[in-house]
Amino acid sequence: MSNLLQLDKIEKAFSCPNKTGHLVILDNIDFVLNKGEAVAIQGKSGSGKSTFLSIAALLEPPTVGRVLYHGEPCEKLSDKALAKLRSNSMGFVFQNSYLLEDFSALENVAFPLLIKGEKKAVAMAKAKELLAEVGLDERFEHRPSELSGGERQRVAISRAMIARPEIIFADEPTGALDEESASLIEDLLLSVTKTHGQALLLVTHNPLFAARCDKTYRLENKKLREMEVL
Amino acid sequence: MRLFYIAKRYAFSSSNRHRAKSVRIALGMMISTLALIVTISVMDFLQNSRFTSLREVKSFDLVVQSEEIEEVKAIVGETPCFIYKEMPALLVTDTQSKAVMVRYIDESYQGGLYSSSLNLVNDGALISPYYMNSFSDNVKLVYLDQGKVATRTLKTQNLEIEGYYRTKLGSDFDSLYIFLPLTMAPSLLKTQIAVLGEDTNLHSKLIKAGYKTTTWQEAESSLYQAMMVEKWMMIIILSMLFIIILVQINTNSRLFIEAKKGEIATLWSLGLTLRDCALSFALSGAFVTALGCLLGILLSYLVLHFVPTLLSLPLFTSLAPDLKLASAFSVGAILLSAAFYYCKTKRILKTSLEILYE
Repeated sequence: MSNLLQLDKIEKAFSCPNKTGHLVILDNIDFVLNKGEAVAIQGKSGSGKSTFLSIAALLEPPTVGRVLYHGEPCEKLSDKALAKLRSNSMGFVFQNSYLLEDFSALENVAFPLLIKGEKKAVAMAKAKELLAEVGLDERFEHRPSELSGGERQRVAISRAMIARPEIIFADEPTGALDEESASLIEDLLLSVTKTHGQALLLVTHNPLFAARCDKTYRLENKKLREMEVL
Repeated sequence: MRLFYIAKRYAFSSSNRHRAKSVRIALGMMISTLALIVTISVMDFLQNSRFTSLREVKSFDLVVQSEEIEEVKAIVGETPCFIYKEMPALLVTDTQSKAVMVRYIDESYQGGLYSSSLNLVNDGALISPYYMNSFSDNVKLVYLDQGKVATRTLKTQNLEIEGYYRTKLGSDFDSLYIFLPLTMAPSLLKTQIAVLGEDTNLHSKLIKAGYKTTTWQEAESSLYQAMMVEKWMMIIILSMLFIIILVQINTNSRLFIEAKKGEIATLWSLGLTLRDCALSFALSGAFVTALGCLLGILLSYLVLHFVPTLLSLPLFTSLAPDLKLASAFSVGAILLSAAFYYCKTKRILKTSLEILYE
């Protein structure tokens, strides 16, 4: 498998209000994500999982170190180039789904294509296909507020998939769901990424979900440690 | 990218969850625009109307005191001018007398008097309707000459009333003046040449030529100063209003962007650039403000057009919103809104990205 995303000696520190010095969240972390690979990151709350994910997804820069995408360093990319990279190559699924509440399920799914400049009719047609694929063909015109938690996450997964990105970043995608819905989302997320040959970088508290991935890492004491797959 | 599509949706679309907020913001802008335009239009109208009346009737733009009429006219050239003379007198009946100023004026004078029979070439007088019930068709004038020690009577004359006049200056002025044709003026009276229009070059020329001149500001200096003070007060009050509107736009943009911060962060994570995100919301803010301003202008037009009629205020019936001012204000408010929304969106993206991980 070829190297898709690489984090090279990453450190992330935040300045502490009213105090001198910095609060270090991530320290000297190396990480590689290969094409089509599913990797889970586990760790306690506050261990820096989400920060790690946002650095890997180029949503925020590391304090020290480099993020390389296809071997190319990203720290000097402009806002426009980063946006283009996110739009073309990355999909996101957040814990609270973060759908655009003022848009219908169909529009939400079509949005990444519209941002890329795709024609509205084409984007809508693809969005319909994907929503049908995740079993929401009856819910095209529903607003996010009219959907259940599981349905919202299915819309979010469809939205993350529509631009055929190379990596899906998922931050606790089942964290706010009941057991049954969570299981459905896990199956869906793993199967669609496998089907389309996409890499998955998943942050989860759920050890069973993590165990279904190709690799599992644990973030502890600011360091990332690979765990043996059971 | 379809910035317009996003902006429109976040402005007034029925699917916008915060539509009520947009409506409130637009209504706020509407009321501010209305207040500003109506205040400025009324105040400007009152001042301009007062200034115009002063320049056309009470005193004139420029008055040259000289008997050398032809020489002055040669300097004045094409600029409209006319000759007049003034003299104090007593208007007398069997039961009462009233101190007045008699103004002899040539027939070329066209401004400021509103009369059904403005026929000053005849030998009759024009008096104010104020006297309608006090005098019959004939009045007696006792001409006065104010000396150093006493005022003496020069001559008494019986006059036929040719008609009534009124001016925009109201009864205070009207009841003090009687208009007569210039041909009736005693030859001893000083000739005054009124020049219309404010022409500083002409004024300088006349001064250089050695003529004694009086501008309307000099003739009415105390009133003019008072009105200038009033104008400055208005500017200060309007500046305060501008500051209030500025604070209002700032608060509106903060409320709007705070309400949408989750969506802003999501749009950014989906691949919109920082600039495009900020532009979408700047456009949205501009739409909302533009609608508010437009409604404010329309409402101010209705208020200025219909309220004076409804309240029977004839002086104000020709009021209209100052469209130049309204457009300048609207463009300013829209640009300011766009700038505030743009900056706040950028700021929220730089500081509140953690919302995505909540």
